[in-house]
Amino acid sequence: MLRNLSIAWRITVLVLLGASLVLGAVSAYSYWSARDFLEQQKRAEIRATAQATANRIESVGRSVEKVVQGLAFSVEDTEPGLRRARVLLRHTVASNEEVFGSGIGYQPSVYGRLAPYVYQPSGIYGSPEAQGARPSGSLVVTDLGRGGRPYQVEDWFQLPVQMRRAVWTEPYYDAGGGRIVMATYAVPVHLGNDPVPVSAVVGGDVSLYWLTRLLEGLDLGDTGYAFLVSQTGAFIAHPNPDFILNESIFSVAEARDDPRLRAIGRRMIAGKVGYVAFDGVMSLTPDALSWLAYLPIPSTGWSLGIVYPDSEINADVVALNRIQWGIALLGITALLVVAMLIARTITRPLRVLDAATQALARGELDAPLPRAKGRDEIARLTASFGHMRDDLRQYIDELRVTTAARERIESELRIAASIQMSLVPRTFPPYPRRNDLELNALLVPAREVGGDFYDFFLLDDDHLCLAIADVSGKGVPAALLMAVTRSFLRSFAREGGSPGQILATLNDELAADNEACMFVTMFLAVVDLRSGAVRYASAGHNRPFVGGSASGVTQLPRIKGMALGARAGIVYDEGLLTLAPGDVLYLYTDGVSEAMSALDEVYSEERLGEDLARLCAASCSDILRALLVILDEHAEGAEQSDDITMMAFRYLGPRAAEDHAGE
Amino acid sequence: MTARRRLLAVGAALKQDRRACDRRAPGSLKGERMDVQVVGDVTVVTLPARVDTTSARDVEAGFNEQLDGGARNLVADFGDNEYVSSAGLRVFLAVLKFLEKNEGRIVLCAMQPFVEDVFQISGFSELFSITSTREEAIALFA
Repeated sequence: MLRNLSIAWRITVLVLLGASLVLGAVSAYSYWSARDFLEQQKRAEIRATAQATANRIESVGRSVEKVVQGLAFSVEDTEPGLRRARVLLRHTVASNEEVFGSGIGYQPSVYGRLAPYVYQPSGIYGSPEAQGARPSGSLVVTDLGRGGRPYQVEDWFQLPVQMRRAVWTEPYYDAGGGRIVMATYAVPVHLGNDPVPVSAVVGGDVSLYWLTRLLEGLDLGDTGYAFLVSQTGAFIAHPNPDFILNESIFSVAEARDDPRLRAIGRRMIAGKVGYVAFDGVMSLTPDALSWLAYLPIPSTGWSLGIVYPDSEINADVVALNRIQWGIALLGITALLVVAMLIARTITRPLRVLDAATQALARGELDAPLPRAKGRDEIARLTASFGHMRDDLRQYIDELRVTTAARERIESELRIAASIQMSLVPRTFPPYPRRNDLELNALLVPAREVGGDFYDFFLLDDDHLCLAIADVSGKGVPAALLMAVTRSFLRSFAREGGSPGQILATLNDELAADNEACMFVTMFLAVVDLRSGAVRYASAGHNRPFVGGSASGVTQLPRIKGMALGARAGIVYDEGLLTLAPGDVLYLYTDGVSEAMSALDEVYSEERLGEDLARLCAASCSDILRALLVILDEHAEGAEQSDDITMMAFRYLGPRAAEDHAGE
Repeated sequence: MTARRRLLAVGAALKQDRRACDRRAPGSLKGERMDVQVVGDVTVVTLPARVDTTSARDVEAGFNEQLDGGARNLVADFGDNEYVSSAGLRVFLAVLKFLEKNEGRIVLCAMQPFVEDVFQISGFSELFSITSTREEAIALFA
């Protein structure tokens, strides 16, 4: 998938992927450690809150205990009368605001059924109903035994009497006095010579409504809450008012058949401290996991429970997490931008180079390549492309030049060939009306013209001039020299003179100003057609063959004579030969005798002589054609490297008269 | 003349006869120099196996290098040579003409029969001093 993207995108994606992994790992680690830390902190906070709340309740309980004990001591010590006792109660309640109300319950044997009671309904620890109903600080004085009320059977009186010690009562609704839910600290008092051990009970009340408010005031998040259970497990304070005094932790456990809750309840009323998962039915938010911290309030024997939902504990962690992920996302976005910028910066020269090479590929060799800065890979690549482009350009230029040169050469070769072919007579038989001679010649130019030529012309009616020549070198220069030589030959030959004289003149002419040191080998013969006598001279040329049906084939003897043009002032020897009627004179150039086979074998003069011996009875044109076939077979496909030139002349005997007349 | 020579050279270079290339003797490859020895004041040049149209250029360049370097007493050793074409003959003719103008000499030696024939037929054997061994050739300068 990545392969289809541009390099810039690939770098971006990979960098982003790597960075995201690292960032994610860092985030996860910091999340987990922060979460752990925050959780610990929150738990400690909850515990501290619970402890502080418990301490607060405890201190209220303790102060109530002290106040009531002080009051009891005063009553026991001074044995005040009813009036005095009421004053004491008023004073006690007025000066201790945590004491909701205070009373003294006498045994009927003392004053009859009498229980003076003073309370402050509008105090800060008072009841909701009383708030605002009466002016703050106002006290209400009443008698709990009025109208025959049996206060002796109530817990606050009965428990100290029976147990003969100070007790905290279970919370209860005080219908006779303060008309609120309260708990009473009650102390037994013995007066003077009273026969019964407990003459009266002195009590001080704590408003449970105040406790509820205190717990409600705790900062426990949106769904956290606190509750208080008594020594028996009954709810003293709970956010659900229906629970207060009506339900206990055990009744709830029973109703919901929750043994875990029961176990928690037992530990709570046993005065244990704990911190447990609290995910059950007891919670106000039953489905969510919560935590319960509980601890005892020693003086009253109550137990405080604080329920805190796990989600609230983690709220901070979640918030932190959210912030962290937000930052991470922002960071990655920023990274994306930065990575893209970097990637594009890195690949920009590549893209420019790409565009340049595409232009190059279209053949725009002059399209500018980007300037290579620095020494990085791209710079080197650009430089390499530059070299390649330059080489390519140079190569193309060279190719153009060579192609032009080759075309020029080819055209020169064609020119040379056409010069050569236009200079040799090519109409055979050349003298159709003559019956004294048979003549045929051919020239097969090599691809690169070698400068061979043959020529023949009648000097007069009875003398035929035969010439074959090979110009050194090849191509146009050779062709030109050949043209010059042929012109000289024709003009000098017609001026008269023997073959040796003709060659000497020719040589002097060619040797003059021959700076190129080119030369021409030539065999020149003048045949007297009346007698068959042949005068010949050779300028460094291959020795011709002469053959007749009677005498066989022989090669002419070597005679002195240097190639034409090498040096001026050369004397050319002459040879004499008489042809019998039917004899053949065969002239050739080294293109024949030195024809190469594919295996580098030279055809050679020996083989030429042998082949001529077999062929010399045939007509001149047949001899030449047969030799051409032989040469072709000898070459075996090897390219012809030099011109192949040969001429065959047959003397047929003196001319018949009628032929003479016919000319 | 220079133009003509250049034309010849280009023509030879363009020649595509691979056989011709293969036939070249090792010493005649383009750019390679001919074996040259200096014995006293005599410069002995050993010719490649073939001096034909293709290699004549290199041979001529090799001679020109010696002539330009001031060599005037030359011996051309044909000991390794098997073939001389008319283009090859032209080279020797050119060297000879130069040396005649510049008071120098060239002696050819150790020719094989076929090569000797080429010189004989063309009549060039009359122009050159030819000996059968290199020692004889060098001795001619003594």
